[in-house]
Amino acid sequence: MTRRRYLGRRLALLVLVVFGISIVAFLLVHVLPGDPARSRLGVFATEELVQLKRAEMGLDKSLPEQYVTYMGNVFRGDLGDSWRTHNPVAEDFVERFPATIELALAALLLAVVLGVSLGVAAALRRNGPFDHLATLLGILGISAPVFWIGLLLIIAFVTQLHVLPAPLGRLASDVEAPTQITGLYVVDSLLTANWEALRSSLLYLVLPAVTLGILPLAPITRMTRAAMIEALDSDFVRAARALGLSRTQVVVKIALRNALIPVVSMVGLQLGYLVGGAVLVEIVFTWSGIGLYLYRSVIGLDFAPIQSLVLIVGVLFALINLAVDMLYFAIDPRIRVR
Amino acid sequence: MSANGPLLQVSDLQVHFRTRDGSLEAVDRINFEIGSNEVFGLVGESGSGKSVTALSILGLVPSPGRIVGGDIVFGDRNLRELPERVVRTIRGREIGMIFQNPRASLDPVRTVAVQLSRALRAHHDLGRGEVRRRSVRMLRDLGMPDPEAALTKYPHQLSGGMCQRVMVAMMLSSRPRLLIADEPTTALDETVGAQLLEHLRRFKEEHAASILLITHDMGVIAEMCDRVGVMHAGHVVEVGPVGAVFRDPRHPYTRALLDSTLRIDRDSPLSDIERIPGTVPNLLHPPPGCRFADRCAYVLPACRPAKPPRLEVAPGHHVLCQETVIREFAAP
Ligand SMILES: Nc1ncnc2c1ncn2[C@@H]1O[C@H](COP(=O)(O)OP(=O)(O)OP(=O)(O)O)[C@@H](O)[C@H]1O
Ligand code: SF4
Ligand SMILES: [Mg+2]
Repeated sequence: MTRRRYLGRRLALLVLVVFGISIVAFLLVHVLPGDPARSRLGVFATEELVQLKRAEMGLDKSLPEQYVTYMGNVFRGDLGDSWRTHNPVAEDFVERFPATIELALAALLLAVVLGVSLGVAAALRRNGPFDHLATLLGILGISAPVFWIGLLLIIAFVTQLHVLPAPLGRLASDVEAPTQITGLYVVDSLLTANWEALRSSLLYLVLPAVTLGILPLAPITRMTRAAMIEALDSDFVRAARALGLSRTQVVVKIALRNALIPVVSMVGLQLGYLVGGAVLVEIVFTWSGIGLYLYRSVIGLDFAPIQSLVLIVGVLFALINLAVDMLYFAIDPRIRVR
Repeated sequence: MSANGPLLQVSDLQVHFRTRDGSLEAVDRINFEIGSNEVFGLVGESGSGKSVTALSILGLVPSPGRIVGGDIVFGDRNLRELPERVVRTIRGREIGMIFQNPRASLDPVRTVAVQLSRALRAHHDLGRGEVRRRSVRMLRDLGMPDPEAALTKYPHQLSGGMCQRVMVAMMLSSRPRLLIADEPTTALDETVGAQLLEHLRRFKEEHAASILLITHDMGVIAEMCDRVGVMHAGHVVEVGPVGAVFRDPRHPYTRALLDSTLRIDRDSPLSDIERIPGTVPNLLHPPPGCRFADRCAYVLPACRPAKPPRLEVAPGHHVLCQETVIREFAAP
């Protein structure tokens, strides 16, 4: 199968998936406990008032009608208003999204760099110190809940050692946010050479990123280790060594290059958990991203943001999956021709 | 290098695999030598230690295996005493090895061109144009159809025979003085296998190289080799010139091997060797004496308590057996 046909099929599939997600997002409001109309008016509103509100919100129409209206709005960029923040959801979202991206990217970077290095080190010296560290991390990653790790880190580095700032946001209150370019504070302050903001944003980013990164770190380490062991024991590594290639070349360019194939798909899989974990981490560190926004919307039964977030995160997820698949396609020549 | 000494001399080589149940004695104090410009064959049934012996020469015994004793002298250097850094410069350049499973021995995610260039550049500084020219020439010499196109292919896009040609090209690229070929034809069909053997023979003639040829096939030994070693359960039980060993086998195992070859039933899927009755002893806790004793028709009380002596029955013809038995076998 050619690359283009594969891509075409994947895109067609993506359209279907997005359609499915939109239906789920739409129906969500109807299955969630609570009545959107009543939650806006409060418990003391009369039944007549609630009925009026329902009509005003279009909730008395048939489901297909409501869906069409809803999707029409979505395509016009109108995701409804949050009654909690009194802003259009789209605005709230655009404002908070970069924070989450920054957190997730930092966590992922940390997990991939550390996980791959540790996995390689563990595979090279089986039963060596790094191998034991990898095992320990694996147990920690599986058994310790994210918020617990977060709280533990806060107690250690904030309350006890006083080396990191309290978990309240993305920047110290007396530091001005860098000029917005990407919305990622670390990147923006680097681009604008704003060293004060860079320092502060890094200090605030460390703990949440580590907390979130621990989640995918363990499986990435484990997968790298297993794939590396397999590659190092393979016939082609033995043949490469028989050719007299240098150790670095054999380990990095041949063994690691091959081991990365399953690691990439593992990372793709972990992205999903990362989104879930981000919600918890944002709550623990009052990190004002979409996770915290979602949490507050759920607590406040603020339906429009919940509905939009399900839609957006779902679509995002499908896109990430597609990207990972394409990456997989690029690094493994064997799936190019079937 | 000494003028007339052997190219490779293996003495008392001992390789153990450390397992949970104790150490597995895969190769137990074996001796043989390979002269320059000689093809030396190594036969023996599956698990007798042929591959482990070959990998020992390159210092590539897989863990948990380890060379625990003996010497491997190549030219005038004892490979066991050289640091890994130096052994690496010998691998590929002076001693090459082609493996049993050619496709699995190629990097699955790199093109043939990249892999050939890795091999060519492992020991020499070559420009891109030169690498390409040599790659094409090597593949063409090996009878690869359309070598230019083959360079752009990945291993999974090639047939087993073509993968084998690529691997042979890689391993011969530095013109090693010793080529180890571990069952090089097993994965190939008969014609391709014959072509490969022919190519190895030509390489040996053109470059005055030596070959260590591992095989199950006594016919291949007869056709290709100058001298042969017979392995059984980690011991080299008989070693000598092919003519002498075939005409006048002195070890009961060699004899059984040749007998079974002569009674060949061509349709049987078993290789020559697998038709010898009995099984190889457990190498985890091998008996202290002759490892063939349980299968041997001539077994004596003296065979069990200690490893039998290594006797020279004719110049360059050694047998690991009891003297009385060897004499009984002597050709009239
Ligand atoms: N990685 C390993 N771990 C443990 N034992 C091993 C390992 N590799 C080889 N052995 C042992 O070493 C012995 C010799 O194996 P070797 O591969 O040299 O046999 P062989 O003569 O090449 O057989 P074949 O004809 O099947 O290739 C075997 O009995 C096997 O049990
Ligand atoms: S040493 Fe004894 S048991 Fe072993 S092959 Fe010779 S006669 Fe047979
Ligand atoms: Mg073998």
